[in-house]
Amino acid sequence: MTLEESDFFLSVQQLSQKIKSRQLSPVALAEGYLDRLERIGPRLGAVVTVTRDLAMTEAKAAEAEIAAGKWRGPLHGIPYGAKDLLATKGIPTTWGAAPFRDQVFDYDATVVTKLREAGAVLVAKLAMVELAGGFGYNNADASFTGPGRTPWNTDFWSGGSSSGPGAATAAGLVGFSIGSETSGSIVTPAAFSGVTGLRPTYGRVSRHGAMALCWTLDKLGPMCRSAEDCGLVLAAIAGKDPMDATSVNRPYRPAPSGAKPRRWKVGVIKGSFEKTQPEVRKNFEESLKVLGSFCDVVPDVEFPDFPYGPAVGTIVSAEGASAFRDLVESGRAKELRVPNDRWGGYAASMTLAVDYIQAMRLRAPMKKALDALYAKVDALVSPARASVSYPIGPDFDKVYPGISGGPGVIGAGNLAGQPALVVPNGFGENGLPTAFQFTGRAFSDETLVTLGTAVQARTEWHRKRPPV
Amino acid sequence: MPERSPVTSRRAFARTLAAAAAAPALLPAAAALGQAAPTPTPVPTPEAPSSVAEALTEVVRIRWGKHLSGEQLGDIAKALDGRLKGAEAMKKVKLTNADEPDVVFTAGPEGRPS
Repeated sequence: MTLEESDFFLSVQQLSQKIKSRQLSPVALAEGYLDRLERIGPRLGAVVTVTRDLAMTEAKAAEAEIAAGKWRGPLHGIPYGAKDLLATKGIPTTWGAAPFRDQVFDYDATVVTKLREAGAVLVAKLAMVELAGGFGYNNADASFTGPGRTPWNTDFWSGGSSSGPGAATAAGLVGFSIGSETSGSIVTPAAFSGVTGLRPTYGRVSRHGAMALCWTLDKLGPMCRSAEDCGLVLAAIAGKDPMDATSVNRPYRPAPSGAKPRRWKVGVIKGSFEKTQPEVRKNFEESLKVLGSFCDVVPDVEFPDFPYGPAVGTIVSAEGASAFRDLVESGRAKELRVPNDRWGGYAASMTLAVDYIQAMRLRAPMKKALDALYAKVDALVSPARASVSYPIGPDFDKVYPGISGGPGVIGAGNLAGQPALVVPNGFGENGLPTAFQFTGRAFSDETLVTLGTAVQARTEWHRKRPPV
Repeated sequence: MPERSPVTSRRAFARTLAAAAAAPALLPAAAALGQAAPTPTPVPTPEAPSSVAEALTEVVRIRWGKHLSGEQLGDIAKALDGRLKGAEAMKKVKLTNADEPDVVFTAGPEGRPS
């Protein structure tokens, strides 16, 4: 079975239909993605470990089951990559950091187990910013595997901390990927790599087996080539897990396909796009026109004013310093890639307990204010990032002076545990992708996916292919 | 007994802090992470790190100074100064005695109600 280049950029939904109808062999598909991971992955700094042997075993099993009439669902036979902070039995799990490059667990993360049960095929452990960026990295070259490069222009970063999932999904090296977000780590690489990313509601997906950076903020979520795919993947990985006390029994339930169309109400966050890069603003305004074709668009929605940045920074610092206390106190932080990360853990270790508690106390009024706001609409929209991606080389604070995304939407959503869906919406300077995000109430993931799917039914940006 | 740094003396550290005051501040971790729409604009710090930031950095030096250079201690002082300012911003939000941290402790071996 010969695969065309375009096959590797199909959505999960499209791949699944071909597999189910036996037009596409899971084994051939896995072999094709493995070859691309080995051939293209290094150029993008996207891959830590190609799991060829495991992948071929899983793909052959999927092919045999499907041939025998046992089809497990839309992920059966679909190759995927996991951010290298998810434990995989017998395979290195490096957390993107040199001090852990030989780390091997003897168990699988719950997400990996759930995806295996759904019939998905693990083809790679994907690169990430070291320790998911917990020590304050300020440069794209922030992993022991080198910088993640966006396939749209490899002089630029693929975003972080889920740098590998972003680049690999955009470049057609995997069918989909799993990323993680503490505060921005799915949203940013989705935007910078031009893929659709879903940060699920906190607790919706078990984090058992995932590296802990910040227990009260960490989340796992899908990074895909369409919003619909994000829903399919979330449906497979969501649910209560006795191994993660924060997980909740809220299975993902997509809107029924025959549901009567309705007029949605979407608000535009005031101040979120006025000071962004010109192309980001222009593309966002075009997205608003698309939304206007099937939504009531409410302009100038005031976002609650809270110190989101200081609160999320304090919480990440305190919990991260504890999570990696052994690394910091042993002096092995000096082995980290980014100069900032080599001392950031020591600064974080001096976070005052009273400041951490203050930040945790603020989360309640933040949640209350945000929920009251989101209760008035189906979702809010804003640019996912104020700029296109940052160049490889200079520190982040040296580029794009004067650009601002206004309210701290990313920090706010993470502090409140609310979901976000990033949708590509065009290109900006240097041929780099731009994106906007839907944000909504806790457990409105289904609504965001429905809205994103409706946008993508009216646009082609998510189908664009980078020059790899 | 606290560890003493063989690398950076208190006097050398004080000189580093003075030099650090003239340099632009490094972004706090939250911004660098993209945690709250990272602003790429450098944050100027015309003033030296506050005395509290210096004191906290001295604790870092005493506890872990053997792992850190003077330059890194200067960076830590600037970062801590930024965090202390963030803490001041958080204190401006009015909370009452009844406002609890948004975490729930539950007794029992499972840690969570079923």
